[in-house]
Amino acid sequence: MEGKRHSTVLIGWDGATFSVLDPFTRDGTMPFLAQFMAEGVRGTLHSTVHPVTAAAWPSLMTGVNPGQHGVFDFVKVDRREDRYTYVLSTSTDLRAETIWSIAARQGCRVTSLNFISMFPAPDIPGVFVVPGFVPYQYLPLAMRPAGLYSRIKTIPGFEARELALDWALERKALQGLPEAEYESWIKFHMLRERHWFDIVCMLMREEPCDLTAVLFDGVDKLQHLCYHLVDPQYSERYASPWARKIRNLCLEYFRQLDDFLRQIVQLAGAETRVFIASDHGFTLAEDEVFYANVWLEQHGYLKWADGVPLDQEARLTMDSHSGADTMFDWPATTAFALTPSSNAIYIRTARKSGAGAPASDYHAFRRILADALLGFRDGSGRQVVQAVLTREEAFPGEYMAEAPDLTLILRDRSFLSVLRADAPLKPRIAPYGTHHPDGVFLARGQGIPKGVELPAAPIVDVAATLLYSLGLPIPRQMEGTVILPAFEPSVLDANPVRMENSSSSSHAAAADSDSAAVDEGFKKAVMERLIALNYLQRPGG
Amino acid sequence: MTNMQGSSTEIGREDVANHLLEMLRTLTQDVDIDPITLQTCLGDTGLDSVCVAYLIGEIQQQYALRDCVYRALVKTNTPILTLRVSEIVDCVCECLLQNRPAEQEG
Repeated sequence: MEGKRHSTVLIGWDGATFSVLDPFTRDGTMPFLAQFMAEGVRGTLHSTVHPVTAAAWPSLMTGVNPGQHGVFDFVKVDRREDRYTYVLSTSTDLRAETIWSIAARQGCRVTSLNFISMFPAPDIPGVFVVPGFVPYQYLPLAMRPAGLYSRIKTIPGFEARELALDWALERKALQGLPEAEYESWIKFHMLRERHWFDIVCMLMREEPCDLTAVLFDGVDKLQHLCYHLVDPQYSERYASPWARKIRNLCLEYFRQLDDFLRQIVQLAGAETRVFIASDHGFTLAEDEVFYANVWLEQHGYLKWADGVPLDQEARLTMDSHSGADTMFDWPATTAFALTPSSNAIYIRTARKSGAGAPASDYHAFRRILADALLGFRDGSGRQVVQAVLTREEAFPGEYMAEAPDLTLILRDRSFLSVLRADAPLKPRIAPYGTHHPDGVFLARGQGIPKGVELPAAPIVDVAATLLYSLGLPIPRQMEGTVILPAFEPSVLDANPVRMENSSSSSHAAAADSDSAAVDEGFKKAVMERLIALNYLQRPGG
Repeated sequence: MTNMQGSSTEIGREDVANHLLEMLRTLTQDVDIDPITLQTCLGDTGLDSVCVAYLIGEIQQQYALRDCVYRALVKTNTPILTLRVSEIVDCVCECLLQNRPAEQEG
């Protein structure tokens, strides 16, 4: 039986969190979102175990966790040489099928705008792709189908530089800004969002699709630097004229986002279901930075290369393109952190005589290191590292071997610094917003109940839910399931959830072997540990 | 964009060169520079190193070479923008000649 096909729109708000959105719906900053919530459903969306954009959006797009899709960070670490290096993650590293592809091979037309892990973009008939995280110079080649760039260029006011990725700007969200640059930073992101909005509107008018998905990523950028100004729990503490001015600019950003939502919903029409999701939530970090590599050096796991400078500004990473892999004296290093975004410690296993954890002792070495990290206390005796997850715990799945050896969850959920400093724990210079595992999920439209609070769901459930909305069967390899309470009982009765019967995708066979490889009992044990660590909530809890 | 997966017996140096030149010309369509040839230095195309890295990423995917080209270029320890187009072509052909290392390593 064919399911009833409903046009479906997914709006991604990177890093959106109810702790900011709810107050804005109450104080009139986001009136349309308030209406959207009243006319639809909402619920917490649990991110991936390590809530980072690079891993979480691919999980949302594929319905599987990072261990099954293979993307753990913005970069892919190459361990084939004695000296570990890294390169940017690309779509080649994403080894689970995306909902864009699943929908397209079942005859749907699809638009996908600004999502990570979509470069190089697939060339699938009926799929319009503008990948995210692509530098402006590369945009003419990055879009699919060929010729799309020429059409987008004709949008009044289009400016490739303002639309695309600029790594120097990306780093600013991590490193912090001088006060004088906040205003232009926020205005730049308002402009960038407007370009993505213009593109999605153009495609919705000229190339209407069954599934239209667009990601607005400025929410994350603003909240990294301005969370203390937008969450009312903290904002009243910051009353200087500068703080008030920047807060007002942030409100302008969210008003614009609200207006974009209103216009997209109108353009989509009454028949269309509109979903909103974020890859993770946000919270305010504490006022310290953990320099993981300094701690590792102090415990004999790492030696700095000659001439590596001391950081004096509470930065998390280097400001240039040159990699953190240049900072270490590799023969004398056994464990190290490469990127703040991963919050990961890599263990260098010895291939021959010399430094490196002996492969035969890997598990014991890793346990000792993890226990030592958990034992690290600040001056007042408080634990700094709340949890240390092995890759078996954090990223079970076929590609687990490519995952970091250890993933740290710091007590304030902040990101570690990879830089050299004179102490492992140093004061932060300015307030800083950091990722929280609880993101948002909202939906509105035909067959979606009104004003309903949903039980919390994992991020992998979004893919199955969108496919269900489209009237499509769910691939069996998908870990996520349909968020059933997001639909009226009459819809569910008339359109039972269908599972895909044949392995239509090239990924299906691989995924079948995945499920055999990952023992269910082990998965359950890992979940129990994560719940015990207070990192995941018990389903339904 | 067509996926160019295939072995070196199916794809010759001229194919790779034409493909790369076409990609570079598309990327520089709005930039006022001299016509790009095999002898053009990448630094003279006006593209920055991140853009060239993306270009190499796309070539690797289209020829199913995983990260072979990137790794080979890194081993030369030469700044990417100092390379000529012909050197990238040579590197791609070399990777193709290694009988599709993606399959061997995979």
